[in-house]
Amino acid sequence: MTTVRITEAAAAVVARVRTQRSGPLTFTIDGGCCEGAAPHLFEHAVITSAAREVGTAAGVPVYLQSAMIEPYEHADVTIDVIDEPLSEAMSLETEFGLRFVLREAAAVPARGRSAVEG
Amino acid sequence: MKEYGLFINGQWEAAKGGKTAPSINPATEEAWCKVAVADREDARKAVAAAKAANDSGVWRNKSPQERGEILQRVAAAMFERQDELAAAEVQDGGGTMRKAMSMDVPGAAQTFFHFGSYITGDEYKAMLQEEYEEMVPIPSRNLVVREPIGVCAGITPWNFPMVMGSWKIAPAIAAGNCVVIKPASVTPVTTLLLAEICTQAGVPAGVVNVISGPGGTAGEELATHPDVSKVAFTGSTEVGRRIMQLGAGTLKKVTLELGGKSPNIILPDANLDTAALGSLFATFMHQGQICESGTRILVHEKVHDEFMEKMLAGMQRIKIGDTMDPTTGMGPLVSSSQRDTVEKYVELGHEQGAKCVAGGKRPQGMTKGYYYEPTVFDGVDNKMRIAQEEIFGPVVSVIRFKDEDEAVRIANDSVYGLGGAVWSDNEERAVALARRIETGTVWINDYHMINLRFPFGGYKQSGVGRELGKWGLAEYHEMKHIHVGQSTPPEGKFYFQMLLN
Repeated sequence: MTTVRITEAAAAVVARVRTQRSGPLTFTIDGGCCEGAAPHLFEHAVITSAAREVGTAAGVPVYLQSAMIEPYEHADVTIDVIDEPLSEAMSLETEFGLRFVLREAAAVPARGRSAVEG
Repeated sequence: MKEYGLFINGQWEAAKGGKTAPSINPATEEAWCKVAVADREDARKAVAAAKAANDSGVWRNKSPQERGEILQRVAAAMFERQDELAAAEVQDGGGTMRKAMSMDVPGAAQTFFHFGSYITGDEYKAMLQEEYEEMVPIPSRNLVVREPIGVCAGITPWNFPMVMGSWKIAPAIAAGNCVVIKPASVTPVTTLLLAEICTQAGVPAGVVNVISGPGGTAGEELATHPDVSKVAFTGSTEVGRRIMQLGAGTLKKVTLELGGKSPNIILPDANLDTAALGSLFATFMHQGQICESGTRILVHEKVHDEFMEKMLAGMQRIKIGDTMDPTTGMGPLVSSSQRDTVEKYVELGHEQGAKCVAGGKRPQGMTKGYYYEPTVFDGVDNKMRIAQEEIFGPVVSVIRFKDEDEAVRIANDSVYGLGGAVWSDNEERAVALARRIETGTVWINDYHMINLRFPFGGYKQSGVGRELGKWGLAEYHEMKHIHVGQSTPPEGKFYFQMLLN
């Protein structure tokens, strides 16, 4: 089970976004290229069956995109927020010069065989 | 402090809301200039300028010869301003002056030169109009013609702002389109300067517009605006997916170049001296902040120890330091949050049992700048998170394999499929292996040899479509079939009888 939490500060930002956007909000988590794994808050996001819902944060459903499902299977993640006046993400909080980030509790061992061989 | 505006319709402009943001030099952690921050309104204005330039025909109706000559002038003008461009690139993004002068400026300028000269040649002429005679159902002449698409948006990342900006601008305008480019907001300056250079070199106002601003507003506007017909994006996977979703609203053409976790395969018959240094080049160039970096070294167990010894010895030749110093090979990471990400993954590597044999920490004695040592994890299992997730920093995972089948299985066990390499003295064997790797590019006995003449892009979740070469250029065209039937009496069109009695 993936555990998802959100800090008070990040939840307050979600509330602020809600004052600007009337459509349904969704958090998605994916990685790749310039940002690493990060949460993205979108309005009217299209979620396909390739993604997996892993909980809610500030009343917003949180999905792992397909590539994240396995690595985050047992992860305990917290959505937090930092000041980032210049983000290239299309996540909605970037409008306020903020960026959601993913904090992780202690990681768990890789699935399958024991890690080091030889 | 220097200030840069937005470049819209051939001139510098302040953002409508008057907002600016400092650009931080990652080596000093200090602001070196201020840049205007665009919002939704500014994005609309830039699209309107591009649309007006497109509709006027001032650019699309020029002959390829005329456009090509102007693009070549852009390239020449970039070389004239190379010191200014290189200094801006280094201070914005934290790359080294050595890289900026030997790759960023010439690489970007050559992109304009390449597409500028290509469109004046016969091959492009043949691409623009193909002609076929057809006999069925009755004789006809058939033209397949290519035309500009219209307004194209380009959204680029912070790792190679000038080169990525050129990849988006040059082929688009070569084909006769007008563009709005949104560079990453942390590294916007050289792309803004490129727009100015284009205009000064003779590209008409409104053909090249550049705005810097947040993805959530300016980016979203570009990806949804009905007057934008194509979006080309380079950057992170989730942003790419979002652009595709937003573009679906008005069915935009979309090309995406996204993340990677590229396999760098060392066969037992490789020249290990070259492979070892080549693997350093593959992973630590620009602090590993390259999408197609060879971040998974797959080495045959027979040569593992010898290869590692040579690679670790080679690391002594990488100097970390002042980005403006021409002897520096590695600069800082782009931002403090990027370094946080790298540190998180290094911790994960330790926790999951990989063995850190080099680096793994910030360099000692460097109190300023987002520096991080080149880091090597040995004994990595491909299931570990450091082998599956893109770190985008100077961290490489070394994974052993027993035979080629296992190497292929590990190489392809990734959601990504961007780049990769095979090192071997046996060319045929290496090519055969390359064909089995599910990535858009494979280099043999080399790395990072992206070439303007050949397609670049990703399999799987690394992207959609290709950039560069005639294939990338083709993506900036609409295609039209013109059927030229003979003018005959009605009886000549016998198929009318399907309807008519």
